[in-house]
This record gives sequence, structure tokens and C-alpha cells, in this order.
Amino acid sequence: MRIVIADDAMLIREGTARLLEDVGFDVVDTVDDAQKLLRAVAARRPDVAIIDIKMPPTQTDEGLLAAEEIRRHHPSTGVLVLSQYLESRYAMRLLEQHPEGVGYLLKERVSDVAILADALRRISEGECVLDPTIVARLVSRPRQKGPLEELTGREREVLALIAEGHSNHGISQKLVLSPKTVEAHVSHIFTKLGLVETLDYHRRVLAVLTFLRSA
Amino acid sequence: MTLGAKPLSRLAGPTQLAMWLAAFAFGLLSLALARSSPAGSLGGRSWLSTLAGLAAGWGLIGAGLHVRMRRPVGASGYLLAAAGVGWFFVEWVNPGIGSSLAFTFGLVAHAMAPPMVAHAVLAYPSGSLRPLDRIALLGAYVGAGLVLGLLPALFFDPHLQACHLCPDNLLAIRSDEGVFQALNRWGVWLGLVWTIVLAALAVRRLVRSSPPLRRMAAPVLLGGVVYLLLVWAVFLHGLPRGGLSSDPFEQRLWLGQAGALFVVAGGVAWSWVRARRTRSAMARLVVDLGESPSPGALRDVLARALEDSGLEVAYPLVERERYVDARGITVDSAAFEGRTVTPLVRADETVAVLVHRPGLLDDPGLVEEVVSAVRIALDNERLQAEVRAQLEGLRASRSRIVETGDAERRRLERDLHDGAQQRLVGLSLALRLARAQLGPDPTPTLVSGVDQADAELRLAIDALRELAHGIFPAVLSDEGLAAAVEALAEHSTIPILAIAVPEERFPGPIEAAAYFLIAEASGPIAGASGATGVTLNVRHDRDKLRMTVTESGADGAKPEVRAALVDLEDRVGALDGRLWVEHGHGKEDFVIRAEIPCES
Repeated sequence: MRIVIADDAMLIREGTARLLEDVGFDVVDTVDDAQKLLRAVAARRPDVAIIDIKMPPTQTDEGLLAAEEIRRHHPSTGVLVLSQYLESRYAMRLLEQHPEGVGYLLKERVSDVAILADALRRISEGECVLDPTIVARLVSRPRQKGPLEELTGREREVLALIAEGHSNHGISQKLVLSPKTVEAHVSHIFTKLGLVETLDYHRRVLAVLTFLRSA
Repeated sequence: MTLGAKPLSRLAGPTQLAMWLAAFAFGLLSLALARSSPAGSLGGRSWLSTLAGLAAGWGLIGAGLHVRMRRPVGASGYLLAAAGVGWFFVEWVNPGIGSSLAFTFGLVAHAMAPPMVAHAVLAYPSGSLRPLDRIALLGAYVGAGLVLGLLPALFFDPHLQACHLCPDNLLAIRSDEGVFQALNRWGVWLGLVWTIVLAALAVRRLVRSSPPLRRMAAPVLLGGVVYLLLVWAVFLHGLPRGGLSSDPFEQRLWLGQAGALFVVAGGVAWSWVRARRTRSAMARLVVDLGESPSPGALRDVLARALEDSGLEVAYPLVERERYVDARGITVDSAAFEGRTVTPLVRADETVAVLVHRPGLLDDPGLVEEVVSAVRIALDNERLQAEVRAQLEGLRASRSRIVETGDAERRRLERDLHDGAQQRLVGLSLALRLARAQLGPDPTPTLVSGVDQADAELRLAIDALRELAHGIFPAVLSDEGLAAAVEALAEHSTIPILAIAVPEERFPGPIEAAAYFLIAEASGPIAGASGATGVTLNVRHDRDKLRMTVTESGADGAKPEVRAALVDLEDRVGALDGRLWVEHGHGKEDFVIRAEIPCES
């Protein structure tokens, strides 16, 4: 799989590249700002671009803007945004615009090669990926009494995996359940939360995330 | 302008008094001379003309005296009185006057009244002249005093030139009928010019004045114009004969001139009545202000009374480096651009300045009337403005402290994220790469040591992130209050229910104050008071951000709560806002309310 990495910190940029090459990814280019990233994507047509959210010149959300730009103009290239922010808001900005083929992980995942590789694979297949820590915080945040309390422990696990962007197939593999059981859990969850069940994978992720963020 | 001096004390000393008495006496003497030899006079042929002549001259002298008493500054009073005296000069050229000294004086000065009257009228009420007025008057003085006065007198010997009754001319150096007549002809020609020019200047003056000044000076200027036109008619009448005389037609014109000058004198009195009316109207308005008028009420009163809606009152601060308005807020000196600044002075100290339309207060007397009417209100407001300016200074310094603190927090947050955290992530990566290079068969203790170090690193990264977020959430400066509150709800240990939080952006200090209020209320304050949940309602009403934070199931009386509230009060107070605590609807609730001013 062909990867481009954009990060203004040389140590992280080159370290990530080496780590990914070691496990068989093809890192075709590494750049240190958003402009060079857009040029590299246009020239190299990678499968996924790994982008640091903060880059020069303002060090705020250049990475997010570049990711949106890539999704708009190069639909065949997926994007994985790395961020130090736990707030779900930045991730939602990314997912709401183009839910397919995008990911949002915390910065420190770069050294967790299993998670990174899994995310890159899922993104290149058109899924979306949201950091498990962010989802866990959303699921367990303090709430007034509500429908979430009616979910069983297993259903909560499934809910979190839906929010992280996993498909039914992925969930059944992760929890070692049969696809039929997963489908039943998903159906229960949507009924209990009062959400309209949808077969569309991306709309399902957004519906669950919106519920978790607002309730 | 000087405040509060008594009018009579302005007639300082017996010299002044004697001078004024002499002026009146001079008029009486002049007309007594006219009556004693009516044939060669203008004012002596009938009681009507005597009285009219006296009324015109005395009227002007009286007007001058009155102006002088009201206003010791400026020459206007003296100019009016001088014109009144000059009006009588023409009587001294009477051949029957009997004294050569008096007759000689009359020969020189008989035509001086028109320029003197024009001078007084054009300089009314401030006493100062415009450059063009100055040039025209100089021409008129030369025309009347030299060409019609002194120069022909040098060539006129009355006994050799068919005036056998005339007294001696003490100035005659040579008798030359030709030169004498030529000079007189020229003088008459010149007179036709300068009278018209001066009348035109008076009309121009009238047209260009500001409305209040125009209303005040109109009778004086119009009287002056009519007078100058009548003088022009005299010159026109004298043209065929090449000189001035006292025939019946000129008599009638002279009576008309007397009437016009009486109007001028009356106009001065009228302007005094107007000023008094303005003053009492203003005094009434000031009384209406009550004992504690709102800041700026005095400005409104003055703007209404003086009919200048843009008028501003500014007070110099003790250090004299800046001016403040009634609210104590510094007045930008750019506001003075294109406007006239009139200082109000008492005991050599400027107590306030009026910033107004140019020309509005050209009459110094008007300023004085205004000031004496509003004196107490002005003093009151000045003191309040000083106090407010000091409070404003304190508030500004408190606000600077808070802003500096916030900037420091933001910088610290960036440093932690972009510096320390970035390095820790890099370190974690390096560890991972090192672990991969341990070879196919590494020592188990080494592997577990590296893994443990990596796990510690991850905890450090987490802890650092929480720390940075608590110091100053980047989302607040990046995306605003609503986004930051949303993030806060994700972090919080108790439920935060946001009924409303405006999505719009506000100035940084306001967003920071609102955010930290909510963060403190849902964090330390909720912890100390034992609140089980927090409900937020933040609304932007016109010029205020109104915040209501309800702590459910909480005890607001705990000392820790009070202590935390003091910090918040500082933040809100620095923005000129206020913060207070109320009991909630439920027994176990308390409500923190805050209002922060913000321009919409």
C-alpha cells in the first residue's frame, strides 16, 4: 500500500516512515507542510495520506483543511489525520464532510504499529476510523439519565466499535461473535437509542456519533 | 472665559469711570454746539434731530459700556463706544463753532464716523477682525481720515476760501482751493467705494455665521449695513459738488443714519436679552437634571441649548495629558478635528472644554452665560468624570492583568502540545524502532523493560494532554465558546447540560471569561459544593452576554465555593461585567449568574 506522510516534526515523520516500511507499507513521500502534501498527493496518487493536524504556518488546523481538500479532489486517496486533541469536534469536522476513507487517531498511535496498520487498511477500503480513546470517552462521559443506560455491557461494546468505524464483519471478528449475533445487537442498540436503523455503513457511524455527542 | 466674576468689578478704577462719563459728556457738548449754531449743523436745526443724534451716539456708547461690563475680554465694547463718540465729530466742523481748535478738529475728524461704526459692527461680538475686514477698514480710515480729513485741511484757509465766519484753521499751511477741492473729490469717490465694500463685508459676515451667532448678531450687522448704505447715498449726493455739506437732503439722510445706529445699539441690548434667555433656559434644564444626573446629561442639555447636536464636553485630567468624557472614557483627540475647542477657565485653570461646530461660540459672552448657568452641574460632572476615569483606569489594568494571564496560559498550552508532547511521541517512536532492532532473539527482560518504558511514556502523554487542556483549551481560541463548552462536557466528571450556548465568536477575553466561568462551575465549584449536575444557559442579548449556571443538588454556602467565586468575579469584573449568586428553584440548587458587556 502506497503512503504519503505529512508532519512538520522530522523525528516523527521519518520514524513513522521507517516503522511502516518495516511492516511492508510503501512510503512514497514524506513532506513537512500542507502545500507540499497536496503536491505530493497529486503527483504520487498514494492510497492513504497520513497528516498531522497542526502544521505551519498557523499550527492550528492546516492538517484538517488539507485532508478535506484531498478528499474533495482525490477521492482515490484516503486520509488519516493525527491529532493531539481528544475533543471529538475536530474528528466530526472531518467525518461530516467526507465520511468514507477518512480516519482520526491520536498522535501517539504512530508508535502503535498494529493499530496504525489496521487503520490504514480500513481507510484504504473506504471505511472510517475514529480513535478508540475518543470513542471510549464519548461512551462513558457523564450524562443525565437516558436510553444509554438501558444497553447491556455487550451492546455498549458493539456501540463503541460502531462509533470507531468498524463494519459488522469487523465487529464480529473483534468480539469473536457470529455475524448474525452482531446484526441482532446492532438492531437492539438502534431500537433502544431510538435511532432509525440504516444499512448504509457511513450513515450508521455518523448517527451513532451524533447521538453520543449530544446525549 | 472666566467664571464667576461680578460684572461691576470689571469697570476697574476711577480712570475707566471718568472715561465713560467723558464719552457721554462729549455727545452732550457736541449737540449743544450744534444747537448754538444750527445753520452749519446736522443735529441742531430741530429738537427732533438733536434728540435723534444724541440717542444714536449715546446708544452706541451705552451699548459699548454694557458689553464692556459683561465681558472684559476683547475690544468690542471699546469699539462700540468709540463709534458712538465718532458719530458726534461731524458737529465740530460747524463754521459757527467759535473756536479754532474745535473747528480744526472738526475739519480733520468730521468723516470718521462711518469707518468707526463699520469697525465696531464687523468686530462684533468677539472684538476681532478677519483679514479682509482689516484691509477694507484700513482703506476706509485712510479715505475718511486722510483724504477727506487731514490732507484737505492742510490746504484750506477758511478766510481766503469764502468762509468768513469760520474760525481759523490751525493746520492750514497754504491756501490752495484747487488742491482742497481735488482732495475732497477724491475722498468722495473713495467713499463711494469703501462704504459699499464694508457693507458687503457685513452682509458676508451675516451669511457665514453659525445660526446661533447669526441670530444674535443680525440686528447689529443689519443696522450697520443700512447705516453704510445711507453714508454711500451721502457720498453719491456730494459727488456733483465734489464734497460733503449739510443741505436738507443730507439732513434727512443723517436722520436715517441716526435711526440705523439706534438699531445697532438696540441689537447689542437684544443679544444680551437672548443670552439671558439661553442662560435661564439652560438653568431650567440643569435643574431638571436633578441632583444626580446620568453621565452625559449635561452634554445633552448644552447641545440642545446651543443647537449643536455634535457638541461634546470633555474634562482635562489632573495630569493634563488627556481628556475624558463624562463617563471617564478617554476622548480621542481626533474627535477635535475640524471642530472648535473652547476652554472653560476658572482661576487660570481649564475645568472643561467644549468641542463644537466652528463659529458656534464666537461670542465670548455667550460662552460665559452658558458656563455660569451650568457651573454647578459642570463641576459635579467634572468630579464624577475624574472618579470614573480612575475607576476605568483600574478596570483597564485589571483587564490587562487577566489578558496577560490568558496569553501566558495559551503560550504554555502551545509549548506543552507542540514541544513536550511532540518530543514524547518522538521518543515513543524511537523506543519502538529500537525494540524492532533488538534482533531475532532478544533478552526477555530487555523487551519487557522497553515495553514498560513505552507504557509509562503513553501515560505521560495522556497526563500532559490533560494538563495542557486544563491550562487553556486550544479549541476555545480555534473554534470558540460553544465548541469549548462541548469539549468541556466530554471531559467533565459530572453531566453538563447546555440549554443554549451561542455559536458566534466573541472577543478573546470575553470567550475566556465565559469559558473559565463554566469550567470552574462544573469543575472545582461543583466538586466543592457537591453538585450532581450543571445546567448552562448562555445568551447574547443585544450588548450583553448573559450566563446562568445552575448547580443541582449543591450547597453554595461552602467557603471553597466563595473562594472560587472571587477569582471568577475578577475575570468578569475586568470586562466591566458583574457576577452574583442566587438561590435556585429547587431547595438544593444554587445559580451563578453573570453579565458581560459585549458589542453586538
